[in-house]
Amino acid sequence: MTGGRTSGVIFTALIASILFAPLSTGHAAEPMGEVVVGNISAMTGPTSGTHMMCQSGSRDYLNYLNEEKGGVSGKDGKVKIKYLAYDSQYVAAKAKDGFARLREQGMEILTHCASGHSDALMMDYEQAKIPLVTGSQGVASLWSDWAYGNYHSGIANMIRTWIVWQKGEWVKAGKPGGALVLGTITTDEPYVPLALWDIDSFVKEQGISLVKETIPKGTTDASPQLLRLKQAGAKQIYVLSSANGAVVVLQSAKSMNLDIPLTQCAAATLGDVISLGGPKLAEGYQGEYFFEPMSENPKLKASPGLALARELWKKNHPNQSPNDMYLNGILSGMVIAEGVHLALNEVPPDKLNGETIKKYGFDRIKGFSGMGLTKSITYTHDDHIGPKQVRYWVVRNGYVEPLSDWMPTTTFRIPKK
Amino acid sequence: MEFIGSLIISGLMNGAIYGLVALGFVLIYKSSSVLNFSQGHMLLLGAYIFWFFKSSMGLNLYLSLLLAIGVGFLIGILIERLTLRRLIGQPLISMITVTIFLSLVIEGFVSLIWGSYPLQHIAIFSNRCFNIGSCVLTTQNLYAFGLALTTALALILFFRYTNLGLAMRGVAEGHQIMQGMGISVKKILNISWGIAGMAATIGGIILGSTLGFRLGLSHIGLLAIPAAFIGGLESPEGAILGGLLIGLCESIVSGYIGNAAGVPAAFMILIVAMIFKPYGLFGLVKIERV
Amino acid sequence: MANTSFYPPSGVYSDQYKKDMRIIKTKTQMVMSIAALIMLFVLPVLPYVSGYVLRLIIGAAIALIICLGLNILTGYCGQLNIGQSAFVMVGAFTSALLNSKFGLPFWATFIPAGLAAAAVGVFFGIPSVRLKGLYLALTTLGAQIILAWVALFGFPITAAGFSVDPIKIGSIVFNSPQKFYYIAIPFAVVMTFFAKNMMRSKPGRAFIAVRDNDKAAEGMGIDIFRYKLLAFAICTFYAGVAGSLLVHYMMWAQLESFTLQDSIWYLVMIIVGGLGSIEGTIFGVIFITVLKEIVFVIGPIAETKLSFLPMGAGSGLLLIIIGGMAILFLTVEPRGLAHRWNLFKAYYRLWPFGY
Repeated sequence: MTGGRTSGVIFTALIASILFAPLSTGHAAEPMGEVVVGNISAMTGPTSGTHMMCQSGSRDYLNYLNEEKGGVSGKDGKVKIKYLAYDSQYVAAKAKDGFARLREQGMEILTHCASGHSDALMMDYEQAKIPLVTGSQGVASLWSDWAYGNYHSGIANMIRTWIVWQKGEWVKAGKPGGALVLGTITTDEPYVPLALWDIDSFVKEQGISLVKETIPKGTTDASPQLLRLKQAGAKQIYVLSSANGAVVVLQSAKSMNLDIPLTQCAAATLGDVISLGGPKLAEGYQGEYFFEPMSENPKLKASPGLALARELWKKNHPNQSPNDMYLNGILSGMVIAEGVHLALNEVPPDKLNGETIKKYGFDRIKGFSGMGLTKSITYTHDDHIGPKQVRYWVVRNGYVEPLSDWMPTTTFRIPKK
Repeated sequence: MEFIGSLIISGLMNGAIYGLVALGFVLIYKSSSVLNFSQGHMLLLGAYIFWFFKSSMGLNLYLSLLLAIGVGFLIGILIERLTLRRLIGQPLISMITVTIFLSLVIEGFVSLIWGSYPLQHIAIFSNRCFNIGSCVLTTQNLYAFGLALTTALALILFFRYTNLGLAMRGVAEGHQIMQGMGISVKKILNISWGIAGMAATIGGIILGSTLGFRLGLSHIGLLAIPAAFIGGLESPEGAILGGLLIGLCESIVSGYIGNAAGVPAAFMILIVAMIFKPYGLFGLVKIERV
Repeated sequence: MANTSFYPPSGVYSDQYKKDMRIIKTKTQMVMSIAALIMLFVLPVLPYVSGYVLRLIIGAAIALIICLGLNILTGYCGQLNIGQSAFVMVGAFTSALLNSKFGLPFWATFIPAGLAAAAVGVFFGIPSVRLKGLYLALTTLGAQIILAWVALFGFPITAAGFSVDPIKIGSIVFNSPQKFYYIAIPFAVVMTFFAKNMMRSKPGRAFIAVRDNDKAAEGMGIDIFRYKLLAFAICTFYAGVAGSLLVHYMMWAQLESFTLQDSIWYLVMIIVGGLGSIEGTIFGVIFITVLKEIVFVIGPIAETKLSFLPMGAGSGLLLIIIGGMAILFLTVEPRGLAHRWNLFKAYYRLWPFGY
């Protein structure tokens, strides 16, 4: 087919259309009374499912505010929120490109679903003086004065808090066995070394021992590693993996009739695991939540925030089963709205920008709970972590039920550089 | 003792799945000399189609399996007709690139119809397990292993003793020679891609029921590549064996060194092995003439 | 797979071997080259050229350096390399760690980064003494996996990601796209020139001989093992320098920037552009960069417009369109853009004659 006239014409047409396509995306001017919120997530690729849920949550909530209440209002005026998003394709360079593009379109607040690609953005948003509101911190956002979290207290605190809880329960039960041995099973994902940062000194401080095992990402069987944990005498096991790895661990555990309770880290929620592996597989699985779970449990009464979230889900995604990461996005949206609202109490809409929203808005958030969706969030001058409270839940009969009360998390920060 | 036993079993079970995927790989290479980078995605598509029949349409398990495998066959043929047919005679590297783009298209197609979020779980295998000491064999493992071996055996016999198999091996040597002998190269290519599609679907169904039906299923293609290579790219029995070897190696190394060192170690051993046997264990040695 | 134009313009001939070897053979070519260089250097100050466009170009320039190396190894020397981004990573982390631990500036670290990557590249090229073709590709795939694992578990600091100082010359700090452009483009131009020059000299001809038929080449007295290793070294040196540029551009060094997906995209770039052709590399890089940009820009728009479909459908649709167009393109022109360009040049040079 080479050399023919027609192929030449097709070819030129193809090339021309491809080359000129990006030029057609114009620059947007920002009308008055509008605040632009930008989202950078991996919309294609294997993590896209989770990222899209977060994005959808914050978008749906902010659109709801625009439609039902005409936007966000304060003493000095009212603004609509415009929500823009870019696909980082899970690559740091593209995330930075997306940031640059969003800045050109007038973005004043950034939100993202964190992964390795998003830590690179710290330089950008600090330089541009744009606050970041995220439900999913990478490491960098804990270092930055411009980042505001609303979910877990940092990657390294997930297992630390769990250890503190386990130790507390063990002490309450009268220290059976004399010494406490805990286990953790991880997959070989990039955040795992961060989650386990300097864990040995922490464990030594607490006076217990921790056995660590790793499974390769694509494996279908974790029984050798679970066997070793059992032989080491672990009383409880923490699963540091996404829902995919958790399903493999659960299956191996079930087939081994392992009687050691397993707990899922916040990298996935119990809802995700039930959906991916089935309610029977997830029976008895423990996990942590920093807000209330999305799945309907007839025994629990939903807070107003959760009820609103469920309504928004039904309205915007009628044919899909509800998902917890959606709540993550909704909470970010709520924090953004609260920040803009507080800022509007001090400055008029045309003076709203990243700096003023941070100074008069986010920095003043106190006791914010997202209509009961989470425990209260207060940001102080050196603490933007978030609610700093966690609750442990367990799967019973396909429903997620509370296992413990709300308790404070640890607040360890991975040292910079 | 029981630790290494459980490692071996775990490795063999994983390896059986790699072997199944590698089989599809080898089939396509044997007949069209193309390294099919979209094998993992064909697996993904097959798994999702099975999910569609079982979950969305609520059909009976066996009917869904049959339908899915049938559709897998058709998908293989479709891919071959639409894309590679036009590239017969073109440089090999272009065909490989087309399979790379094809994987994008398949991923896009799957996202378009079912979304990028993992699908609801389907239980296929019962929860019964067999215990050997404290090592465990689930029904899933046994099915995967059994299926992989049966498919391999069937294909080996097929290639060696049937006319069609012989024709496929001939097509791998040279398309023009075969056309000169009156064998329809088009039909042979169709069939081999169809079978590869079927193998991918079977592998996808097994994997999907273990790991869940999600986009990440396509990544198994990565580990199937060394499995296909180590056995020799022209040998189906080599593919299965290679898969088992890779699975074993991965499991044992990860078990003893920890930190999931199994995968890079498998590659290292593979590279060293290939220095001694450059065409794989059972591959055809290319005689080069100047 | 010729890498010179088939037909020089009418009336142009060479009476000395030296003149025949020249890259620029006619006055027109000289004028156009100079004009192009001027355009490149003046681009950032033109209107309508926003920071976003410059970022695209810088990204393309860095990818160009990587792909030039890759084309030298795969296109000219015929050794398939599926692990290029791992070598980029080696260079990137070498440069970033030297900067982070010892405070060395970019100018002192980009050559060591290139050399480190070259050393690793030669190590993984050693199996080429026995392995051929697709089997050798496996070694490079292994390099990708093994190096990624080392970066993840070998050094905790590389897993987390850490910041890197921007490039400085005297008091000028290159920390914005407008400024970094003037680092990226000169590097790209110089490395392109080196590549083109190398390929018309003795090693270049040796590479082509090894690619076309290595047994025959050996019979003619070319030490094929040595030249294969040289090709690996050059390819990975380019990758290392590009990696060093990349981390100083992003001012952040992180593991997840260097995945197998990226390696495959680099390969796609040179294939679409044309193997064994320096111009082809440039075309391929531009084409694929633009293609990916379309996904990047239009994906989210498609997502909102199609929100009634399951999540991810919009981006999925876009992937189908992009992949489909790329397949169509390869079906129409499997030898890449460079070949098409040569045909085009031949067409207008010979017009109105057919051949």
